[in-house]
Amino acid sequence: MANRTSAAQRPNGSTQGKICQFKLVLLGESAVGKSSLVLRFVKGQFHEYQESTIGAAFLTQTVCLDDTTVKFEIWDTAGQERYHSLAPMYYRGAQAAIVVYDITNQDTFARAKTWVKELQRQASPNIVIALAGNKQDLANKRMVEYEEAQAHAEENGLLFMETSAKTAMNVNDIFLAIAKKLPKNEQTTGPGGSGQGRRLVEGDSGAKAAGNCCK
Amino acid sequence: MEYDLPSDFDIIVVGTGMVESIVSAAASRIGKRVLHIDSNSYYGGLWASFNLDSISKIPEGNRSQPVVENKENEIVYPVGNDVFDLRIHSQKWHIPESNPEKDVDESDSAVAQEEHEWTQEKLLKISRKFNIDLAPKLHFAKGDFVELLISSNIARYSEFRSVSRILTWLNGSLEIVPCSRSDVFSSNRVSVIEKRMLMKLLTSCVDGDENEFKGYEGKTFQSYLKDRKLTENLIHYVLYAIAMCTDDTLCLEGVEKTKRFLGSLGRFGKTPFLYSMYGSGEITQAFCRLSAVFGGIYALNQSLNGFIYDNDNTFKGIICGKQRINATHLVMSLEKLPKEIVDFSTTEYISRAIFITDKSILEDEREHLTLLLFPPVDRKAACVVLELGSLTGTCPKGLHIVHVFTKQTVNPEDDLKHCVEKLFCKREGESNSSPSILWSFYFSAPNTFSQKLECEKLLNTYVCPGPDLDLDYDPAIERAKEIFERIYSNAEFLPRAPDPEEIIIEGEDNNNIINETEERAEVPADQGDVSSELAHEDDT
Repeated sequence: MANRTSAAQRPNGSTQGKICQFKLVLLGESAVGKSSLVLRFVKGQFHEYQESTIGAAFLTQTVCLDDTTVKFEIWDTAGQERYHSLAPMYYRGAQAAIVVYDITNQDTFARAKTWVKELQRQASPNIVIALAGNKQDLANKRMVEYEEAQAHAEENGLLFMETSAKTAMNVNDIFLAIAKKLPKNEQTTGPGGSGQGRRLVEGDSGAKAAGNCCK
Repeated sequence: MEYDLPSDFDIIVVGTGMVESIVSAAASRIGKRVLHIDSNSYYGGLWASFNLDSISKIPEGNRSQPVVENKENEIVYPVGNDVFDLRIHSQKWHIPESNPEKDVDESDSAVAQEEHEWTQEKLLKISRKFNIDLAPKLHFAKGDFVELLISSNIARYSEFRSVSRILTWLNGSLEIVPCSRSDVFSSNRVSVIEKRMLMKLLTSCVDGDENEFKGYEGKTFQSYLKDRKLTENLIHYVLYAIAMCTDDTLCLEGVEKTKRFLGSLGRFGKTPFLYSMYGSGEITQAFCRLSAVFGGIYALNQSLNGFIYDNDNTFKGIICGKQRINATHLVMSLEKLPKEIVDFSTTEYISRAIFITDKSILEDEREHLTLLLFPPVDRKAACVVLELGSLTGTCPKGLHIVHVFTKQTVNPEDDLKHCVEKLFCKREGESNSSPSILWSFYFSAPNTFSQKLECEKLLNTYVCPGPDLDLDYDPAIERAKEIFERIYSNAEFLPRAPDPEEIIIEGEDNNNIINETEERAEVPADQGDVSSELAHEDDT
């Protein structure tokens, strides 16, 4: 599954440069707009795929940066967070995470901070984490101040943006910022990170590394 | 946090062990409304993996001892029994608590790099780098489990590592078992004549016609190998390591086991085996994820207060907290079974030991994932030893986790002693080339696969056994499939889930795309099967 996208399908038609694939997970309280951000990102600007989370493990989206093509494998929580039962395997080996809260709901921001802590403890050490204050279109009902979230992001070395999946504000930008920050050399992940294990693929008879740069 | 779960389902699955999780995924996959709950706060039940801190606190059981309640028209059975609990024999540290001379406030990498004096404090500080399996499993590269993962498309959730060498204990030392053709030919422990004999034998086991084994129907595999004039060493390799047999295993069974081993060679790596990264506990979570992806509702850490049956003993629902949740079918792990209806006359146990050690049992230039098949000696049963290094994501760099287990005859210490003594330093602080044990954990786990688990008394109720002694998950898959087919007799068992590229349009998440929906709706009830979702128009 990992290398299904052929070079010819890429938006700029380029066949040059390297392709890097990364696992990205979304975390955050129910109803903060995690799936919406992904669907906006995957369906909004880059129209080569039309995919959905239903019955799918994840969505994929490709971003082109100069000479590098970054392919995100974006995992959805599949609703397991609803009753606080997200399986730890969900964020194992993730190279990037977007922790989402709703700017109109202070509780969701507190929960986001907890997720950041959990990722810093449990995920791979080089994980790139972005904090997204979603529902920016509802800024008149704001309960979480921009400065407060920004300060938290700075303290913890997170990327930070306020986003709106509804108006598409900063949606592509936050994924692009992550793509830029991700290390794109051959051996990007340390022990405990993804890209070291073997994914099992039909008809596969040899090694198939997942997650790290493949070309 | 206060919340209510939806109150009506097709099937409620209680417990997140392997068999339960496969049934849950299979039911969800065909569009059934599944509630999957666990009273534990973690996934996996008796199949789970723990970090170092939490394994020292695992409860031996989950006790609530209310009695059967008879209400008007209904009977409420209490949840859980203590028959199938783990029995912890000992959990010990073999290193000092802390090292007062050194500054303990070092970063993780510094701890891993330095020429270290391990202390309890240091290990507990990096507790989360450990994933310690209660029931470690390996996977035959062409076995039922791997085939199911691939055919159902669950494989994409998990990563694996190949077992890089198989060892046996022969003539007083550890020997690498030559298992592939290239191994056989490159081995300097096997003479040229032996090489030819071994290749010939392995070939005839795989391709052999019926005549090859004629007359051996009632005889042992060992006698067949002897008749083939194999040397003692070769018989040892084939009988104890490749076929994983005992002296009494019948010939045809031995041949089947040899085939199982050889058939999985050369698909993913040098040996026939794979191990799930971050521990075997990940695997149940992969099936749970598939179940959730297809609409299964997940709730851990639930207080289960009873199973509700009508007067004809037909399952009606469960009591979860104060809430009543109805469903047609109940699937549960055996430790959740009401004590009143447990038949525990024949419980067998598995003797298990887990060690954290400071180096490999057989040092090499690179890190290995090692399977050691320790042969039966002097009426002691064969032991399986699995040594995991940091590349498996189950322990920090510089350390190993070693699992040792066998069928229980006396107790874990006595059953495993002869094997453990040969592999590790005998006394604390003694320095020779053997690895030292830094931490040890001995426990007994029930082996319930051979047990009768039908509860004929209770209708629409299906019981899932806990972990068994098989190296792989084949028996668990078989049991899950049996349960699934009894409930949904004409449905396909875990058909392939589509890849993201194949799914064109979303249906149910539409209300999520526009942020005006304040809350995610209470989803479960109306989630049809995927094919109907696929037909919806994309209106974003």
